[in-house]
Amino acid sequence: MLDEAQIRKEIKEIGVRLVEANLVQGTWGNISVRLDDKYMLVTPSGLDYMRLTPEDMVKVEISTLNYEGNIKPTSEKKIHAAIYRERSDIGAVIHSHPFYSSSIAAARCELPVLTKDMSTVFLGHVRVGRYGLPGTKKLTKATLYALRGRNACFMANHGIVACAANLIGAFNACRLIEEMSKKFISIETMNLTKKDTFDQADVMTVFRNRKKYKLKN
Amino acid sequence: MEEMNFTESKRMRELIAFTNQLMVEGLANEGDSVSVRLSSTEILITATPVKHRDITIENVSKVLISDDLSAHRFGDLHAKIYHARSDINAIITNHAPHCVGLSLTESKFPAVLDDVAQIIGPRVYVAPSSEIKSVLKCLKGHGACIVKNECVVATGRTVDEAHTAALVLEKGARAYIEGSVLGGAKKIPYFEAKLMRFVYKTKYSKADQEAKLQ
Repeated sequence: MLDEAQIRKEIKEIGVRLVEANLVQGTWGNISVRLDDKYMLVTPSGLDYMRLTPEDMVKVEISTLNYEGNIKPTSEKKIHAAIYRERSDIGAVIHSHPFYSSSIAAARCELPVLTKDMSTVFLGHVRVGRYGLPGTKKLTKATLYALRGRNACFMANHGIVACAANLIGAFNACRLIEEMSKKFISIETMNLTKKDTFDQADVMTVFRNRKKYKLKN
Repeated sequence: MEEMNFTESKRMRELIAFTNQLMVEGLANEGDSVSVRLSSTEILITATPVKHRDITIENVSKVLISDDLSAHRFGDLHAKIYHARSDINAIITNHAPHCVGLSLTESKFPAVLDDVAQIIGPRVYVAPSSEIKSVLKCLKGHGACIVKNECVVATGRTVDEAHTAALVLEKGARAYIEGSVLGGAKKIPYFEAKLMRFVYKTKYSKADQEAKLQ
């Protein structure tokens, strides 16, 4: 079994890094680490990463979702547990809502492989799962389906899930998906505007043109 | 400034910290205002104009809601919102670029992200002017709104929540705009969005917000 006290500290540290890297806002997003075949440690529900202490992390039984102590675990614990049950290669999961990735999730789009890194880290293109309300079985099922054979996916109108063998790997996957999402949006904008360089203002032009030609969202 | 009690000093520290944070995030600049309620009659509000990166206790005023706050940008609007809505304890008026950009063409836009539905509401409304009646109408049941070509009005039970509302609203506006280069952002069905807002207000965030009000 991994050193539980150390893992608690690492989750706190990664939470702060997610906030500092602008990969999550407020109390949104959650982190988990598999302790062994039976248990995972997850972040609690509705508390922000800056105020969290290592002691606030909740020990949850992967098969039953029963938890120890009085602190309520994240409402997305089902997704974390389902990933650990399905994927023995996964040791850490991060769910977050970075800006560019959220735009892709809102458009319910897939992210194609743009660099070699993506093949190595995500094991292919990044799919988007079907829409489901947070905390529901529908969302868990959709996320698992989108994750099959991959280490990351988008959750429709919501955010991303990134996983890896360890916590730092999951954090790096989060960072990469955001970086690649930005790149993809830039490429698509340049394709539409037929320009060689990306200008953020062009995104607004595309938006206004869609409205002008009454293309519905 | 007159001497403050423990709670007032705490609110002051939070106000300064979150105003500076908004500046770092590119969501506040000269001409924006952040305020926090101290009681039913008093608030703390940032002075205008001020470079928020340098904001200190000297740039914050303790004022009565009934005072003339026209020296503070949108100060009167802040006061009138506090007067009308006792559930609101913090207000941010800023000029988030995607929000203000959208306000030029839209009268409302849907939540295309779950966190927008939860923190702001199923729709984001654009008030045609900063006239209080119009802003209050757009804020009804919603955590934030936009005043056409003027500013964002983000509110919260704490300054932390108002800060999150400002941040999430700009992200939602951005996703709505950027989605257009990917075939269009898909809106969250109204019923689901409404349900998420209800759960957020009554269950999900309650403990955290109550703890922060202590």
